[in-house]
Amino acid sequence: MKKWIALLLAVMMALPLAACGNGGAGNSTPPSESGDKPSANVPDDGAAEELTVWCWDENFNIPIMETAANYYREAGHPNFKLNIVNVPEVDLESRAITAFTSGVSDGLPDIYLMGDYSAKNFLISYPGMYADLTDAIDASKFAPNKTACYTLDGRLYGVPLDSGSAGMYYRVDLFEQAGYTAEDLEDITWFELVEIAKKVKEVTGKYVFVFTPCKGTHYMQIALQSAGQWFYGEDGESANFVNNEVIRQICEVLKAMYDADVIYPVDYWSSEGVAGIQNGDVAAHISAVWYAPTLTAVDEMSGKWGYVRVPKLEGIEGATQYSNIGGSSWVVMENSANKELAIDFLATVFAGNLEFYEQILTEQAAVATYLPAADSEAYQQEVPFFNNNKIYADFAEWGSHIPEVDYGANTSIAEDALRAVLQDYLDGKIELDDMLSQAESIYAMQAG
Amino acid sequence: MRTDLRKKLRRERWINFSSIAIILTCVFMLYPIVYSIFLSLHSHKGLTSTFVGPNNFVRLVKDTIFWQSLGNSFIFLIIQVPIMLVLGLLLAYLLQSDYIKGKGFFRMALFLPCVTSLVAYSIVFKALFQVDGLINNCLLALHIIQAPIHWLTDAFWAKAAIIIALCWRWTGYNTMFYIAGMQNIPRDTLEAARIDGANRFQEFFRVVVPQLKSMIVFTSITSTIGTIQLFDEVMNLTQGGPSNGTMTVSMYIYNHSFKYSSNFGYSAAMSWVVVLIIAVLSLIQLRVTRDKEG
Repeated sequence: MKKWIALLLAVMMALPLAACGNGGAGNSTPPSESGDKPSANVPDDGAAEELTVWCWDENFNIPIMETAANYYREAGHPNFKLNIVNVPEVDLESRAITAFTSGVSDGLPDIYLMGDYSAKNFLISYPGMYADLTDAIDASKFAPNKTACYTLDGRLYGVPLDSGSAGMYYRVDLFEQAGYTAEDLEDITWFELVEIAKKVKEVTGKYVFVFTPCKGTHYMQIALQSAGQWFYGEDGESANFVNNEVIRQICEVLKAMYDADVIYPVDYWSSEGVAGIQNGDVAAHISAVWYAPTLTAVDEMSGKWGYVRVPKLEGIEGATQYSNIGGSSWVVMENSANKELAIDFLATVFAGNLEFYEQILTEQAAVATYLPAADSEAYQQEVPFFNNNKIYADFAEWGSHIPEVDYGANTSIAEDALRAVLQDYLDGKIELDDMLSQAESIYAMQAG
Repeated sequence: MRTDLRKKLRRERWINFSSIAIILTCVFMLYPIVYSIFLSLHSHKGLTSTFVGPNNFVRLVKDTIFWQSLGNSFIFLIIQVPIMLVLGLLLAYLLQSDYIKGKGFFRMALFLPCVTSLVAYSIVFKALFQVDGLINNCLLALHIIQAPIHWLTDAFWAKAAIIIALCWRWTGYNTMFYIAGMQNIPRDTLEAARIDGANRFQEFFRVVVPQLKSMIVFTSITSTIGTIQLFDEVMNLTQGGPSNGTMTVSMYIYNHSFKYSSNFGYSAAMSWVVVLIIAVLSLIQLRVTRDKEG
């Protein structure tokens, strides 16, 4: 008898796990910051206008939102109040999921920031939760690759924020030591880049790239987008890895990099990865325009960094040297009591105020995806850190050419499926075809 | 008449006394459990839910990542739990011996790791295990290794790092149970052993360990459950990578709930498989110890 009681106790201890698995029923408590939703009971008489926003990054998104609030106050809403709550992206997504599935969305803000790669997943999985912005926002004024992420059945659900216009930053001095000038990097293929990287490593002893090799899927994303493709087949849902020439080519590039030992193998966004780039242990980094502030933060490196467009793919139809990495946009909650105000706020500032865009470019180095902003004077400034090149104008110009891609609902499943087998391929344990077909079957299992 | 009244009063008191607990248990414990069975028969994609019967379990059997993560959990279990429990026993024995000064300090030092926040200690360990972190630098300085170990980006070393982190955090916790158990061992049994000429090893293995048996069974069951449900360390240190080398079942359940397209039905099905596995393991552990008794 005692044994059975003990067993029962053991099972009881294990059960909270099962209870956790149901999210909706068990964990329905909405997050409760003070000031989360103070606006719910405020009458909309124009006297007290108040919105709550969730976003992340104290050096970028939060000050941008504060600036936006100032401009909205100037635009005839003197009593406008904006509560900005700092919520990391991962937490924000799980909070939103918890609120949506439990049906208790009181705890959600009026506006929140959404990562572009996961946007389609949320729009498809949670229909009716996001406000339709089609009539309030002129989508044609924004970079098409951004609005494509938030367009479902012809309706727009997001207001694009920053550009993820991609390029390769490189150390001018180190590449010169190895005998390369900017022109040598301007118009090269991925394979040529690897050859150059080998030479740079040989001459300078520095690594040329920084990322964890088995997580190298972001190179596939950069290349896929530059060719207007993504991980999926014709149906936009099933995986297309084995017959995808872009993925095949990039896998070979990654293997060549790995074999040549030119990769500093730490996460590029981790503190040691960033330090590696800032301290000069890494000679180049392929990233987006939003990475520039990370480089300019180190004054003594002024004049040592240059930038070029991303390399091109060989023999791929429609391949360009324009691509996108990351980026985020604002979405409005359909069930928000202040939906109209939230939409008006975004439409007034983010879809119309050029002064605002000039200010956030100067203060946060935020390159916008609002196309008219690129013509403003602030974008034409020469940046001394980058040898007086017009970095903002260049990236903004590249950004307008980025091919549109539908990221679909399963980007993170595709990433994880490829990451699960990439290391074995890099180590030479499996052939490219085996690796890609294994990844396809993993994808099929996960996407269910 | 009087006895009836007393009985009635007693019964009412019993109900009054425990009704709150019963209601709370039903709402927060039983309902979620029953609802998770209901969920496990459905497939979700965000808000859309379709009844699929036992299909989630069929899918589970074919899901290689699920089996890989289960395998990882078992590797952690088989390697980490014995190391931790043996270490805990030895430390407890040392702390109970009469030669140690400042026992209170050592006990506190051992127990401190398990009151630190899970996330805080994971962040510290992440810094320690960096390629140019303290551990690599020490090993390099001592010439134990020639090149830095890629602790968190190599599938083998990532597992080792997680096991080291788990041992650091939970050994002291189990030591406390053993110390409590040892304090209940009658001193005269130890004295008798010594008078009979037993050495320290014999005393430890023949006298102390057998009398701690119930405590050892308890700690091994709780550790087994804890290891199979492992989540925090993996989430914060490696996020299941590299190449799913440290993916545990809980992490995988989390991914399907919050990272992919929120299939809570599939997650619930996986959770129930884990519950069954834990029940079977606990039963085996109880059986094994009973056989020894007999």
